[in-house]
Amino acid sequence: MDEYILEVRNLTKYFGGLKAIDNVSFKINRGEIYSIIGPNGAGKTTLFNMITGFIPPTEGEIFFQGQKINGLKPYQIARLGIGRTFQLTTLFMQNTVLENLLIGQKQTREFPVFHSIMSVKRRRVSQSEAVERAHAVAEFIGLGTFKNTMAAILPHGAQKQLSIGLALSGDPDLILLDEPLGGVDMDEIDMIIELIKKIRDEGKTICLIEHKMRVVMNISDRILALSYGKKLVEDLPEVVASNEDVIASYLGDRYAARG
Amino acid sequence: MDKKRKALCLGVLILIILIIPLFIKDEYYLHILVMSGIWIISALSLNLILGYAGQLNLAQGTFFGIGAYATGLLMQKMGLSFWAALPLGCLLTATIGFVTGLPTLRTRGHYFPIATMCLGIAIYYVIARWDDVTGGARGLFGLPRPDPIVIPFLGTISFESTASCYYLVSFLVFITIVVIHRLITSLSGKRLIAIRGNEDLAQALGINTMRDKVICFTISTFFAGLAGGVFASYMGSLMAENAHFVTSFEMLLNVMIGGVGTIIGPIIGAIFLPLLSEELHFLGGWRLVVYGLILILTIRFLPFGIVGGIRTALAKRHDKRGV
Amino acid sequence: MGILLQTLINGIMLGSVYAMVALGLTLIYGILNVPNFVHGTLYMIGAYIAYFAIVSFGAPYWVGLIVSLIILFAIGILLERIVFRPFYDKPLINSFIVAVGLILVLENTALSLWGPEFRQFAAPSDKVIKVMGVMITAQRIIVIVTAAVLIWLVHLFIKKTRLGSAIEATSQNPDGALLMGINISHMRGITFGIGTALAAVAAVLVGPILLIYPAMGHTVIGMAFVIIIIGGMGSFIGAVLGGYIIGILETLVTSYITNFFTEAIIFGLLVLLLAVRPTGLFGKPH
Repeated sequence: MDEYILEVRNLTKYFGGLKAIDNVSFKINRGEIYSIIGPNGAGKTTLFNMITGFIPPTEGEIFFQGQKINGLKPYQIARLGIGRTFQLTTLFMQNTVLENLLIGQKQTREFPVFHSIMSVKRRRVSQSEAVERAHAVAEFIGLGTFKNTMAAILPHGAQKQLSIGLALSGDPDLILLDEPLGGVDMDEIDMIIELIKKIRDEGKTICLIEHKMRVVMNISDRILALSYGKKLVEDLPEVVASNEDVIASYLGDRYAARG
Repeated sequence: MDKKRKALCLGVLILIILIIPLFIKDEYYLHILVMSGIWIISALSLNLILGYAGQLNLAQGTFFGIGAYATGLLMQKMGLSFWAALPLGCLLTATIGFVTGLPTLRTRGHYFPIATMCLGIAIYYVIARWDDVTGGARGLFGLPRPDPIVIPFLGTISFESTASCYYLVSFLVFITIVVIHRLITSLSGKRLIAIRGNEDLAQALGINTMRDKVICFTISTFFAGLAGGVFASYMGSLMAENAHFVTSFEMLLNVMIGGVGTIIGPIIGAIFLPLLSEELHFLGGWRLVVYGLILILTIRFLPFGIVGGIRTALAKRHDKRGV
Repeated sequence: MGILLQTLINGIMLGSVYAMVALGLTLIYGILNVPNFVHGTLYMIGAYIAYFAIVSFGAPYWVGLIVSLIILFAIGILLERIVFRPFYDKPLINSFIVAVGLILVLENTALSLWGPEFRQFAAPSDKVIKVMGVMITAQRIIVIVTAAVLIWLVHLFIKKTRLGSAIEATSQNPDGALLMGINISHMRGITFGIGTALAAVAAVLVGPILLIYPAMGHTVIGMAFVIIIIGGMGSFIGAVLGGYIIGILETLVTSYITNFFTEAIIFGLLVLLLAVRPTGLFGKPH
């Protein structure tokens, strides 16, 4: 088995004349927490969208478990074993927590329509398997007591937990989390950090986009810093933290935001 | 216990449906029930694609028309029996649904209703102008009722009476409900709900949304064609307007006023509106104006129709008791 | 040669009508972000109002045109305020269905009040002009010239007036417009009024040439959607150019290929176009 779970090679993306991602390459090791940081507009989410097949790269290649995945459709990439969350918390808002998690199950995404209508036994077996798994995921992400609550009325932190649960529900090997702590209260942050660690302990690989620097420095095995679509540095947290370009780009961003 | 009670309720309901013709002596009311049955099938077909997959298909009435014309023409021009023409008509409708669904369902958001509206207009004009085949603007007349079924030693079932048509339509309504209910309560149904909720998220979870939308669209057009085919044989004549907006509007009204996204809603709508329509007969053409106003007010104040309103009311009562 | 020229002039005339209807539709789409399915029905109402002003009240043609323009402008503002405004923060599908309900109301009101029969009012001038061996009625020239002038005026309004540039800004970037302190709900009403008035004028212009009846808007609204999808939803220039192109194309198909399946061909082509480019010819990918 390959040591790398994901390899991105010379990825470039143009939006019209704007270069959103500029010749970026990196590899993610199996079982690590790999974080991508950078000021707003650095191209982090664009990177996620290309890895998961939502937008095609202009140039470059992406390999998952040694298989080239750019050109595949989002659902095909998801079935290969990449789960993701979206920057804006994206859930099936009108459905309950359990229904949300049921939709993400392998049994749900593949069960043929023909058998849904015609068969009795296969239908019942798959359904109870999927429901069982959905219950297990609900417990795992700490929403066991909210199973029958509609997603729209969950507190924000719980919605973030559920979105991670959705990314997990298809039992992927690699999980891409887009700002899982965005807009989350102080007391809820620890809960989500614990959840991320717990997922890693299950043997899954995590790729993280996050702005809360202290958390990123603590939790990550390695960090990739981007600025204006370019790779600034990729290294261990302490090395990245002391990198002058990173500091300049972050401080620059902070000052720009204030001014 | 709960299952037993459900089965009992269902049994009683079926019994009531079976004995209704014994008590209704006025043919006209039986006729309204037959029409309700046809509207139930078509409303459920629209509800499948609109209420579950979340796609507003403005050509659903056109697929009703395709089923009607196909069944009618197969009987009249090809001399087929109703029992062969109806399934063939449904299959033809579903095939056209599949072929037209492939391009239109690639679109999202605003574009899908527009694309299906254009599709509906295109097919309507083909029906309205293809004089040699469809009779064009004059329409199609003299379509036969279903042929009698001969059961050895027991006799024949003829479909000349309204009551026998009532039983036929009730049977088809039953089949439609069973198929659609099984589909939407299954894991495949969960995928449709996911597509309605958020198509991007559904894809990120590994759902082949395009494939599911096309399958759902095809099934939905099959049942629209079924309703149309029965309509053709029962009414005996067709106008090009049957394949146009008027029919789509009728379906949309039944679905929205009954309650979109539920099975019982469109059924209630399709029974309630024709009855209301009888009461409003004195209004003449203004009846449809009233319908339009009802539709607007429903969307404004009861977005989930009668069923949604009842549910909200029940939930409120429940809450009060709880406190 | 003569026939081709005749066909082209008819095409440009039809194109003028399409361009105006599509321009109204695209302006409304740009600001309200809803495909306004009622647009074709309002086009029909515009024609009837001019008809009654001219035929029943004996008003001159141009007075009828202006009366129709003003009334439809007011109706547009009212509809936006009363019917559409409550649905901006609701799921998209709700405003579609409300539009469908509104079509039912307006079209059947027209049908009940005025009956299904075809009507027509007289052109302001029945002169026939002979150019290069081709006979052209004055009304055709009036349609073409008036439409061109009006489209140009709308263009000037958007480019040169404060209100117009606010509309353009809102259409291109609603959030930015909000930040700039533009009153968006005000903008929506005005745009709906202008768009509706454009459709009314288009209907009054072709009134003397085509027939007036309650379902007259069906095909026109379909065509207008074809045009703005091809031209890019919300694009001014796309709607105008697209209008003329489709008008000429339709006339050519009718004269040279088939008289019966023109609409089927054009709408069929649109469906195929959407299959290749699900967000329209110039639309951005979602």
